[in-house]
Amino acid sequence: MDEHPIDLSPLDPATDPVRWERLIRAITEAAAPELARRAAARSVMAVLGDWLRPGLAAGFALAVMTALMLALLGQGREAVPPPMAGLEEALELSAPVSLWLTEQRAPTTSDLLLVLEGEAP
Amino acid sequence: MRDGDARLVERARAGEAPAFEELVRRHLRAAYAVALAVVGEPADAEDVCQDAFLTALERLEECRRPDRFAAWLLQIVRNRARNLRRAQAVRRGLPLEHAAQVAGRHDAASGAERAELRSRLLAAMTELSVPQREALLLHDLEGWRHKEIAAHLGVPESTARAYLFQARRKLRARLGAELMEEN
Repeated sequence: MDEHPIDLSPLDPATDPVRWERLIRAITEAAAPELARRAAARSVMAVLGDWLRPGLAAGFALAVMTALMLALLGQGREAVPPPMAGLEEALELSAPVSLWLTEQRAPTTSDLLLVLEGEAP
Repeated sequence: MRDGDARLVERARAGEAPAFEELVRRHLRAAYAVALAVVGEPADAEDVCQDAFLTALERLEECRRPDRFAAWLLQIVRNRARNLRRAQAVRRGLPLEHAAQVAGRHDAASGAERAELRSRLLAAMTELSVPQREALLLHDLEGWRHKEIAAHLGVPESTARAYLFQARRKLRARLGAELMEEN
């Protein structure tokens, strides 16, 4: 194997420091507009982020609280007895009357007699 | 403490000019070696480097492994260099060998002897294949190891060694005893 390196220093661009620095400067200067664009985009995002972060946190907290309240209300609603039963009790209706109401029909003659009999001492 | 490439890429993405300049300083030599291996002319290699670094900056979000920025950058360099070479071949209707003949024109500031040697080296390198030139420049100019060159070229290490061996042999045969004495 040919293990001896060849002297390629004449091809080394850095041996001419002036030219080398000029090349680096040319690259960085050409890159300046893109870097400025990136920096500006970054600062806009940072400002938006500063505004959005507390807003998002508050929104999240509100959403959690709303969800909790809805869950609690849902549980409470299940515990309430059927409205009709409450109404019957509140109006102190007798059982036959409440039967007409729940069946949504007009009372028959026998229903009326039954009620009257029930109210008799 | 010196930032790693990953951190520099992150800062350059945020538009920090010093971070980008550090990336340029760190990888320009390797980029130049790859570009020169493909285009064969120093001035064109410099143009390719500038173009490649700007392209890299614009596409920095596409660099999925910022810790391997160099490998990603050199792929861009190689593609840009190939594109330039193709465009030149079409425009000039000339083979690559012509590039070496005009290479010395850019060396007015250098010493005449050095310019002559550079010109001869460039001319001799036109006899090498692009992978041979890349292996030679990255190893003998940049000091890369065989393993790194193999990874860059996407070939086994033994192949990278073979490229280097063939490149040196051809170059020595072309340049003759004079260059051997220089070494």
